Amino acid sequence: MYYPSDILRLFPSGLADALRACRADTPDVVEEIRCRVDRPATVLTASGARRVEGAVTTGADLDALLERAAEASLHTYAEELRRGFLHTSSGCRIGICGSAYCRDGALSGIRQISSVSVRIPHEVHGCADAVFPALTDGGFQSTLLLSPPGFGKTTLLRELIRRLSESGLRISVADERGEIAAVHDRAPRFDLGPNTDVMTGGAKGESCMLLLRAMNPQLLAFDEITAASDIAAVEAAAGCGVELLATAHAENSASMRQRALYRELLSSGIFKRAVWIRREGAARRYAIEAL
Amino acid sequence: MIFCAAGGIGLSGAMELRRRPRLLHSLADALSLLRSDIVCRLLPLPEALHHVAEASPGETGQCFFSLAGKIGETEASFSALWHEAVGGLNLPQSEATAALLALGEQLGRYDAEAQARAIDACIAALHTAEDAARQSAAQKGKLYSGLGFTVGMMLAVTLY
Repeated sequence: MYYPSDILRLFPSGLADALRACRADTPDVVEEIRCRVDRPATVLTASGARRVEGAVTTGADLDALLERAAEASLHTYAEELRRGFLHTSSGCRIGICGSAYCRDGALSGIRQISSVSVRIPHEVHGCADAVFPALTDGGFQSTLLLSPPGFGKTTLLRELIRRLSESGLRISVADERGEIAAVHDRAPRFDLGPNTDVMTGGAKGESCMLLLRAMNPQLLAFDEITAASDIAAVEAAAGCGVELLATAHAENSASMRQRALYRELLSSGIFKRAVWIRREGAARRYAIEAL
Repeated sequence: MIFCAAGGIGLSGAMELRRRPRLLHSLADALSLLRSDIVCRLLPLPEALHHVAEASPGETGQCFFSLAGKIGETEASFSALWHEAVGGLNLPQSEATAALLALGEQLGRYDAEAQARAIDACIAALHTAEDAARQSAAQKGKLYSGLGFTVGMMLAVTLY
């Protein structure tokens, strides 16, 4: 198995050694690593999940992992942690699970971490080759990338941003979760092209409006439309005359239209095209639909 | 030679007494800047410590710079690295040192406000220790160097 960049540095040495030891027998790229207290870690690749024998995860392992992922700075990530995840400087999304505690009736944080999932981002140059000509035919129009979780929406989004940026379009990215660009020391770790400005962190809506005012983009890109506030941001941005490129969770057209949130989005007519992502083994297949 | 050696020992004791209040003062200043970086900018500790190191003189700057570089580079937890860094400052056992060591258990572990309270308490302890060290340097500095030369002269005369 293949672990991109410096992912294994996040893990305590026992776990890292066990993960390293099971990498040699398959060429698959690791998409996710899960660690649960008192159990061996599991690794998810395109061909399925497999157990990592040789090391049982302890609570101390998870605390150490979290401290490293947060660069020993929980104050920086407090807001993300309240929502159950944090993003590392290498672009990994670390989901955490444990005992939630509340203050004034609202979930305030998570202690006694019992499970951690490390989602590893990938940069796949060329993955948009199949759809790029059709999406730019006659000029790029607002497009929604759709699939269930883990099918590669963010990877496709990243590649489309890069290609569109290289074609000369001025792009602003509202990277709320830091997954699209993985900015570290002010520079994106992933190549988003020469004409791309990235705003990391901050709510999508506020970031979009700020980018519209400050950076004068021709195209605004962001990840995961999941809430009513995101739709409001989409509508506000579309009203300013920029094209949009965004992702959303959906299995198919029918299931998408069943959700009130997405019905509202589709009825607004803002997005002209959708790219559906299907998974066939390790490969992804794309289908473009006019909305 | 005996006279010079004993005098040198006395002088170095006096210099050490003068070093302490300066060090405590620069540590308090550094922590004040660290507090701002944590509370106002929510900077991650490595970045905040780098910033503080750049703005701090001498051994305080070196201490914070070295600490920032070690975060995430070793198996050790941040509090262990902090303890090691404070140990490297060669401060005498005191309430200020205890406050500095205790701060390592708080930094990076809690929200910004809780860390700010811990830093404020530590800064207060450092200022108290700085006042005491300054008084001590004024009272004992000349005594140390004078004692050194006197003992040196007595030894030299006795041995002669």
